[in-house]
Amino acid sequence: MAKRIATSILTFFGTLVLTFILFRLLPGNPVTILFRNPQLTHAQIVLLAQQFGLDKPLWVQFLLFVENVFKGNWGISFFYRAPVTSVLFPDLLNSIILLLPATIIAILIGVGLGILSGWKRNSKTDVGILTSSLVLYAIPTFWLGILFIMLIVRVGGLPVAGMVSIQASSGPPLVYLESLARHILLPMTTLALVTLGQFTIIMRSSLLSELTEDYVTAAYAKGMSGSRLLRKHIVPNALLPTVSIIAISIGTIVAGAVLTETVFSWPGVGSLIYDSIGRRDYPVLQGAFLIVALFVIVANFVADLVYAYLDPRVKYS
Amino acid sequence: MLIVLVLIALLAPVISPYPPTKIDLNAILSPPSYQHLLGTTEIGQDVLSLIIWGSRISLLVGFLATAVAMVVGTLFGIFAGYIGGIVDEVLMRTTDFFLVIPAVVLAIVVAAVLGNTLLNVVLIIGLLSWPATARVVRSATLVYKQMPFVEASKGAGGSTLHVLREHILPNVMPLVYANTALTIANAIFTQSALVFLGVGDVSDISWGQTLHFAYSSGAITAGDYWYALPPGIMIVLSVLAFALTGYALDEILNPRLRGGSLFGSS
Amino acid sequence: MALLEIKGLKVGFKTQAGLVHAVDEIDLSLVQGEIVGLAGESGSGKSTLGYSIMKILPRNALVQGSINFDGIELLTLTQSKLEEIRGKRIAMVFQGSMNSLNPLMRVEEQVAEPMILHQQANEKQAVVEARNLLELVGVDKEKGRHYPHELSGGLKQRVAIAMALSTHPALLIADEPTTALDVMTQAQIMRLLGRIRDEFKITILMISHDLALLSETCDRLILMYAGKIAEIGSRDQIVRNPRHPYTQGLLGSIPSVRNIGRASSSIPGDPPDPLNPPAGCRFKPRCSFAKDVCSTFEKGPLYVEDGHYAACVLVGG
Repeated sequence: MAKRIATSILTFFGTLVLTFILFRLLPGNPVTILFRNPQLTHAQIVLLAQQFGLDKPLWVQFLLFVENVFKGNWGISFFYRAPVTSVLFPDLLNSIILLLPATIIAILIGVGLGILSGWKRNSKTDVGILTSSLVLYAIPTFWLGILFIMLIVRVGGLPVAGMVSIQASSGPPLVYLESLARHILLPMTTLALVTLGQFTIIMRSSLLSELTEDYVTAAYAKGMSGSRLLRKHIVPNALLPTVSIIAISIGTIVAGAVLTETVFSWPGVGSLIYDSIGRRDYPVLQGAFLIVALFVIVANFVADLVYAYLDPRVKYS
Repeated sequence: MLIVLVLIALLAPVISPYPPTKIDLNAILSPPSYQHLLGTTEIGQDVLSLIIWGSRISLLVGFLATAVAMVVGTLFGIFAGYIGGIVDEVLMRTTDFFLVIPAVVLAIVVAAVLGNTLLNVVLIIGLLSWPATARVVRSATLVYKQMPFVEASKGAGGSTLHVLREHILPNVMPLVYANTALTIANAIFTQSALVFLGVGDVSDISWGQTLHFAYSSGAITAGDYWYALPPGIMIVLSVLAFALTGYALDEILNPRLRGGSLFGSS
Repeated sequence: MALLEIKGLKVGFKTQAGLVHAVDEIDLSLVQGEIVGLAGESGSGKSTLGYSIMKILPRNALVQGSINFDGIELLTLTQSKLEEIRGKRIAMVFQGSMNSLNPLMRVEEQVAEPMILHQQANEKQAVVEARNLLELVGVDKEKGRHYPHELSGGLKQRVAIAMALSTHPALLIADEPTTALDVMTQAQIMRLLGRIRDEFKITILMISHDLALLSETCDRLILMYAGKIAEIGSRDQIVRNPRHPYTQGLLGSIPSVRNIGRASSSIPGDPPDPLNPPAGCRFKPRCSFAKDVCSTFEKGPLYVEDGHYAACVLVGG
């Protein structure tokens, strides 16, 4: 466990290094780029340069950068003229509101279909599930979003952009939630659909490889029904590889979320990244990348904990 | 399927009904017709010609980025596996790092920062998609390292580079090939996403670019299906084609127990 | 009366290359309380024979003939009736038991599972019972709380035996119960099986390629070659007076104090292609006594003495 924590910290440190290098590669003076504020006087530029240690050697700059990151001093957004953190965190919350339910739905349905498909392998059900999973896996997130938008525009009935309607945003909580639910339906479905295909495929192949294990034969020879065998023996074992693959694909899910948010104008970190690219708002971009990376690292760590909980062979210590 | 895709890309100038940049001012956002089989865009470009020409960039980026990923991944994997020890540890930690980091998000940020030329996009996608190959190559190298013929070559005084080039590399290459198809699928995917978000090169014609303009011009909210459907279908088809080829190669190159197991609902 | 009566059993596997005859016209009967050893090279059909009694064959298997267990015809039994017998009245210990335990369940839970399945025992009672059983087979009670990966190979094999014994079955099929164990542990496990037979008055069918090992513990021995019975008889009859050249060959390749110094005569050649076995005696191509008549020898085992039969033209008659 200590090793896992160390790995997570190391990964975050790597992210810091990467971010540092990346944003120092920008052509021009970091101060003028990071604080592209035409109203800055020369004196202010010098002051900022000192504050961020830009007159010091590179490694000192890096240490200062790390220090600032941990102090929550993530720079000032050029566009919003506000600290990056205060721009970022409300959007992060919005992103999680979309990402979390979509991921949970994708895992439940994806794993469920994978079990069904593997258990009824080579049947029509299996072929159907496998084919649709492969297609879902191959559909670009943003294109699925586009398809939904085109469909809904024709049919009507659901909002295709934003998170809550303007009227509802100042209305009573129940109205607010109702509006939120209507807005989240399409992006959540999009994200869940593009994510679940790969889980189905992984769970199916993992189940199939468990079926050939000796302990399955031995358990079956105890005289239990197929459904009990599946429930008590096969599925718990087949879940293990699936959990580790889900952990690896968290990065992909987050990427899918970024695209989904963009297509549906969901006011999350993804949309913020998209908007900031157009605005050349580098401090926000840097902050957004850090926060996304941190989120993925934490999610990976949680997945490791789940794995350790499921598999007695992994020691907690 | 793959062959058809490649042929479309190669023969684009021949089979495409119009030059992709040709603007027909009499047909702006017109639905499919005999003149424009798949309709036209908001500036009167022929959608069919666009997706035919688009296959060139999409496939090219897929192939080139994959080539970069294969070279880096194979080198990382082979050295980590063969040399072992601290080198292995460092290389594999790096691999894990890139495996965990949300690649597409990183690609977006890098492309936004470094500028979005075609070469940059290729390099970015390539340099973000090698970890899977590195892992596979490393574990295969670990296996072959123990093999008698490698031991023999070492015993006969073969240098590390000689052993790697003559004995290890030829054996791990099939695995690399199996990975190629999947990596191409991913690269096409990532490229279209980048271009769609506007951080790829939006001036080169590609499927992602067509979708980018379909979205940003508002044609989608207007329900102009002929504009948004074809490029997406092309992406799905080519990703599927490469992914399925990858699975098939994997099946052939890593034969495992197939069928023959006892249970399942009957 | 015989506990198990097998008549004219044929088992084939449908494969792409054609029908593979794994077991061909076997007649066999076991009485209560005896240990019978079933020996043969790999591919001789001995394991298939064991698995077909439990009816846990792959789905591409074709079975003909009759298997009568304690007055019940197993081959025509419905799935649910079969589940009542399988694991309750007939139990099995599998080849390579290190893999026949579910890695995610505590061993006592696995030993308790058949009791919960077949005797409506509640979980607590069953686990208490399981611990007693574990102690009986030589596993410390505290070890019951352990997971399989925490136990040695020999202990895992004992757990697998306890698992099979938990419902006091009338027939125990042990498929290569000692392969992958070191020689000391092998001897202990064999002694344990002998003791279990005495204590439980249980019939044991022990399947192994190791004739020497079988001849130490078993009352009777059956030798199988290419899906057919080559020779059958009591231990003394087989060891002192082997009549089939195959048996003689196998016994000759057993190292013992008596033949130290003599070259051990393992049998040259390979078993026949199961897709199209040779006509007549299937051992003919490898037999040093082969004659022309062997090609037309289609009879089952011939009478040698009471209880001793061998399928060879050399046996008079």
